[in-house]
Amino acid sequence: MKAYKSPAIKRIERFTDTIVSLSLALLIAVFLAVCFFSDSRAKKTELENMYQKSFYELSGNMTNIENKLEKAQVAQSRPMQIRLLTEIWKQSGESESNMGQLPLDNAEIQNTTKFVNQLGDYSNSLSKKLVNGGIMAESDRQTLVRLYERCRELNESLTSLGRRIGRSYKISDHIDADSIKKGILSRFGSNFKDVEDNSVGYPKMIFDGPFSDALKTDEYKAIEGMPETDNEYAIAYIKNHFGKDVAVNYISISGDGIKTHELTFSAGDIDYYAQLTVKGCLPLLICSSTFNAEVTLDEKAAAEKAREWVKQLYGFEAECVWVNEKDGVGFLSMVPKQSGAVIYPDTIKVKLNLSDGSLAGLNSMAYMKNHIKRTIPAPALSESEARESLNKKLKAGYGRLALVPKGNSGEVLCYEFSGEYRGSTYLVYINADDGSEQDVMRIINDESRGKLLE
Amino acid sequence: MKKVFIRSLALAAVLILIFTGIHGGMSAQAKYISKGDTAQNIKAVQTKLKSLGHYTSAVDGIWGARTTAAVKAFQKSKGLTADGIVGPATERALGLTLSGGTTSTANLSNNDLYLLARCIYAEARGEPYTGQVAVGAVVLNRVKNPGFPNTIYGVIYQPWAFTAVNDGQINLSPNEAAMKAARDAMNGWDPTSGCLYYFNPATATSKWIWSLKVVVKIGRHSFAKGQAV
Repeated sequence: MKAYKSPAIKRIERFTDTIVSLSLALLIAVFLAVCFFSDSRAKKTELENMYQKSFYELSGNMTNIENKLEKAQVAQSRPMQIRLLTEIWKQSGESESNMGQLPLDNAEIQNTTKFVNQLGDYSNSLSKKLVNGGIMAESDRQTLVRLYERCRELNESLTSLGRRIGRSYKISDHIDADSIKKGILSRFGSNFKDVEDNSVGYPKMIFDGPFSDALKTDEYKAIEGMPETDNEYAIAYIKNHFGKDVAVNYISISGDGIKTHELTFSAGDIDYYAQLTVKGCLPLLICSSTFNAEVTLDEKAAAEKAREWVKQLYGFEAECVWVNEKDGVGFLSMVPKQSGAVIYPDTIKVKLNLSDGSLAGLNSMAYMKNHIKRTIPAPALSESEARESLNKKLKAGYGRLALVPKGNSGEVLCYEFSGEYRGSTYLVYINADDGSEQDVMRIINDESRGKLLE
Repeated sequence: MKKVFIRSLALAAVLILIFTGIHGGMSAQAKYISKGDTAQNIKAVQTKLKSLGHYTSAVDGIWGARTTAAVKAFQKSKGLTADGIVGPATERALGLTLSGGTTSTANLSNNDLYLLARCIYAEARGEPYTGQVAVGAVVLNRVKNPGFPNTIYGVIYQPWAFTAVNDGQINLSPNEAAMKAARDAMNGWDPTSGCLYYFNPATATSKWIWSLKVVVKIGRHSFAKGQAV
């Protein structure tokens, strides 16, 4: 029989029921939260450990570089110099990599990154010079001294920041992602920026490497001296080459360094974006997406079509030096010929729809920067003489004269030979004047990028 | 006592559901297709619209201005909101079943090209094709610049360099447009003539980026060279 309970007792019982069930529920929720947060804390610790490891490795790299730079100033023998410079180059690559793993916005470490990259690039450049028989000049020694002094200052700041990190400074506590989005430095960032600012006065680095300060040129030789054109001229150019009834939408003149007419137009079902140089009204860039249609043009036909386009738009007979076909799209490299040599620095890249040979794109930046009427002296060696310099194991094919880029700012006349070895195709470049091996490239078939030269 | 026990279990279960619901809801995504969806889906839409007479261009799997216009025309003819986006209502009206995002390209996960395409897709999938090429070109320009990391991976994964990397969108599969744009960029196409930065003037909050001189504007992005480093 059910016991009789008065309304008051029932109320009390209901009240305690509620309290108990709420507390139980709360306990379970708290338990879940604790599990969640302790997992989160473990991850945070792991991350902090990675940051600290990267920081200490960076410090170690920079100390090594400082030591080697000091030694390089006294090293007399070429082999020793080469060894030290190569080691510096390797360490600079690692320090750049470690710096990239620290939670710093690029703006906070841009100067240090540049210093480290140029330092490595310069060391590599200098060591190449020594390997090729050159000697360390007085100017090189001066540069090494300056680099050493900058390095030492950088390291002093890094070491003192390192001491703070060692004494319970947590890197991840000093990062504010929200302020970074607004362009304000994180606290770790400003600590690091002090490291940068203490080593001011980075020297301007001029050498023959990809990071050299000398490489920043805004010279566009191909259009030098050509008359400036206006928007009407540009629109007429497009109508002239792509069809009188083509609808052209002129956007504006834009660009920095090279001024271009920016416009879009549609021709034969394709939407194009184009940049035509203001001087001379030549296409700097034409861009369009391509169709996934069936390929009907083979390499020869594609090269012929590309030749036609270059003749029509730039007014010269080009030689096709490279074809990369993938997914119905062909990228062809077209170059002018002069004195019997193909001129690689003046490349125009043509992108074709291989279904019908219609133009999909043009990229003439290299041509614009480098093309001039050159005087190419006759080579000292004949083709058969140059062939002597080839590796005997190589099954050699065709040979022709080619002007190729040398380093990052020069050009050299070579003989280009194709050759087979062990199933791979190679292109070997022999200096046309002294028969030395200028470069060796291998043709590879990349699954995603098609035929490449490396 | 049993009543209390059951009641508290029920309350706890409700709390857990709420908790996981909030957590899970944050990662759910609506299934709408518009610019930037897979070629498969876009081709299906284009084919259908072509058969209905709204779309007259090539069925190429690329979402451009003409596809948007055709969708809008179709939506108008059916009395739907003409916004150019194929949402569930438009999908039903077209009589199509669109698939979830899968890319038709082969497994290229370790490849520079594929990562570049992922970055382009994450950062610029609603942009015109040239704008996507331009984003790829900015990445490659940074690789060549001494003030930035020296590999495509280093540049893309540099902390806070790209918002789409920060918020995980970089892990989405790129579509064919992004792959094509990445290929163009790798072949040297650079509509920005060497720019290192870009921003969307409508959403940029960083004061610093506004101080840069804009070289060219494509789609929603303004491209700038930055201070000479």
